[in-house]
Amino acid sequence: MIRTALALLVAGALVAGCGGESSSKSSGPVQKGGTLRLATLHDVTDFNPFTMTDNDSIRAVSQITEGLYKTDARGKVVPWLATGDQTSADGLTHTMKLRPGVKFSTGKPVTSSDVKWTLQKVQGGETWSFLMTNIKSIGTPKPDTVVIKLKQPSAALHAVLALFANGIVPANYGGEKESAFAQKPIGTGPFQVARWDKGSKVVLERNPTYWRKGFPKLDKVELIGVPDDSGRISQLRGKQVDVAVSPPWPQVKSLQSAGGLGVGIYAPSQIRALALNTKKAPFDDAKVREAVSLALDRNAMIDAALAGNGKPAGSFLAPSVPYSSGEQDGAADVAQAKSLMQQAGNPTATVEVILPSGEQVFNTVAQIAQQNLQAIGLKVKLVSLDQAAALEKYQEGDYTATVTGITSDILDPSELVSYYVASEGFTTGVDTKPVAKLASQAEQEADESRRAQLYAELQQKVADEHAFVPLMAVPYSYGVSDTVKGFAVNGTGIFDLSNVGVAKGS
Amino acid sequence: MTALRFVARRLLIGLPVVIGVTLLVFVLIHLVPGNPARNALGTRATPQAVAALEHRWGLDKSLPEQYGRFVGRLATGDLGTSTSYNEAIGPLVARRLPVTLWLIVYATILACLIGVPLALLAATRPGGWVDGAVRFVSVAALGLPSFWLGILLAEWLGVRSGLFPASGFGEGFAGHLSSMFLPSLTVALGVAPLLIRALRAEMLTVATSDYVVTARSKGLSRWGVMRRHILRNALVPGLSVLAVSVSFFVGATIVVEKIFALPGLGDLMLQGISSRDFQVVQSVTLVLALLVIVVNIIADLATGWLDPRIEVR
Repeated sequence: MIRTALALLVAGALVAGCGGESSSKSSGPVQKGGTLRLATLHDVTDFNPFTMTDNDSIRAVSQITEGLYKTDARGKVVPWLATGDQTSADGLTHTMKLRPGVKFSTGKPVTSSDVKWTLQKVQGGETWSFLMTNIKSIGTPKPDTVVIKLKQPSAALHAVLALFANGIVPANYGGEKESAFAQKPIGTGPFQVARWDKGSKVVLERNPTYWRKGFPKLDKVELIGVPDDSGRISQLRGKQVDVAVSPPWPQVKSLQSAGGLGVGIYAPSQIRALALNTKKAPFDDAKVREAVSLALDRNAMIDAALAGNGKPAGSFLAPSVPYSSGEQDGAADVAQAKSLMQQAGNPTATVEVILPSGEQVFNTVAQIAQQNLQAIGLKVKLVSLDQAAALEKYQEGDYTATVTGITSDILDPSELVSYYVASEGFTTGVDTKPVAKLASQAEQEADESRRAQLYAELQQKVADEHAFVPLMAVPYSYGVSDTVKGFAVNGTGIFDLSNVGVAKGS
Repeated sequence: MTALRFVARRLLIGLPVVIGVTLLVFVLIHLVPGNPARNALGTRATPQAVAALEHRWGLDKSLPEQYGRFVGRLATGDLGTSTSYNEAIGPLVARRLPVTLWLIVYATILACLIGVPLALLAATRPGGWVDGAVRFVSVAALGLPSFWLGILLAEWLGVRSGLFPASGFGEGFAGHLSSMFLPSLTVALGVAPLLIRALRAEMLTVATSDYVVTARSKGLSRWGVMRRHILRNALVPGLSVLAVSVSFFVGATIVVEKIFALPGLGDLMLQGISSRDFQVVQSVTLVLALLVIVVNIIADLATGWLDPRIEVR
């Protein structure tokens, strides 16, 4: 999920109740069968679940594979291909029984050796292994039983098992070559790949061996890459597609009143932030960083960039992630900011803020930030770079400040927290040792309220650095035709199409 | 036989141009910051993983060596492997070429259907109100950027009236014909003004030549003279204008393919640039450069056919 959000990945969790159906004003019963046409930002770029990182590929493969656990539309992590987890008293041994009667789309039954092979593949891979380092061993005492042994107790295990990359695939790719499997992945999910016109669209068809009786409702799904915002909306309004991802925020109101379609706005699970490089002047001075955070008018950003559909963020963890400290009131305190600037000696150098181009939200946010910072005496120059270039500068620490975004792929703080620790505070150059200590305590803590307290403390520590300055939490949004029933998005931004139907006459 | 030799010679002459273009693009894309391996692995990849992937893709080699490998592969007909699609580029390009060819051919036909009759109308009574209107509209149309015109056409003729699909390539011949109408019209409207102006000016010049005066004095009808003597002779320079314009289409397709979500070569090029898929960018540039050369050769052949005085050598 990185490419589009420029950032640290997408996904997140869902506030209970936010994940309901988006639109269902219209007539007509849901029919069995039918085709759903869904306009995505890009076509799938990589169909190998172990290496993919972009949102559109992740959303596609999530219709094809399923994990031992699953993030549901209410933002809960629930047992899925596992029927439950018997945990030993020390919290280190997790014994899971597999759901009986589950088959891959090839017709072959799922066994514990497929589970072991899949999880080990993720563990040994380059992309998602950082989430799997706590797993010591995976045992397969019986074909329907998996035993996962941990190095340390972890409250995050189920959320990690719900990560799309941990979706179970046949051991050894079911005898196929990796390159062939990456063209047509096999899983236990409601759909399988019928056709992939690279760079254009993916056609999914129902998996005839799917274990949930009566699902999926659709016969076919077309995921069509339409990178241009207005192109996606034109196709939705012209009835060439039934669902379009991320309609431009300024158009959401007019789309909702247009008739025949609605806009579903889901959990605010993407954080937009201003990253300040603590190794570069003037942001090596903590007072200047705090002044910046105080000067930012987050509510104005939300109004201008999101047409009001967002929340001022108070943490790098989106409100949809469990234990997030969530929101703040978003009001700027310019007087206090100015006094801090004075204490810091009113630095006069021009600050370059990198702006990843081509995205309206970043653009608006950066311009408002520029005004806010000029109001407290900083000279700000916006440097617009295309996303690949902006990403490289940011990742290599070759920047002074940049607008960026971050999302979580699992419904647990551990993913972003461990990334924060490993990346010097999301490449802002801060010392992350104190946070690392709290993080390891929190993850091993079995007591729920104590764990919440530790995570609150951790987020306060990060916030006090004022280096990765959270701006706002942005919801996922989808334009949905009224003929579509049951469309829902989970807290990590992934839709589940098994429950979706299209009304007759569409 | 002479035509064949002509084609072969022109292709040979085009070779240095193609090599120059690929070299230029190679240098430019490596000047832009942005790392394909980092893009592919995502933001959480370790520096070691990025370095390993760069090595696997040969991106750790020196630039001259990388370009040498590209040309070397090219000599064997291999366009290389796309790093973002993880697939050979040959088939990738082959799947997208038809979309771009559709756009170019369709737009050319539409440009002629719009341009030739309007130029005829204007040249029939130079200085009349029809002439004035045609000239005014074509100057105004020249100033319309295709990204703006495309969006307007998609909104009016696509979404609001529902006459044509607002975007996409469509399925089957009839589907393409209707889906590709708006994008082709967008390109055609950008080129038709040039064609109208060139044809009109040429027809007015030809109209004063001796053989036209003679034809008129023999009592041929106004229309007959127009068609047989004036238009045919004016078509030759018109064709050159069209050939130059078609070369320009190739650039316009990048914008138009994006607006109308067409999975063509321009779109592939844009995706290649944003994911820093160097091989794709180079290969698509190469194919587009070849396309321009081929179009110009076809135009020259057609010129020779229209005007036997021009020898094709």
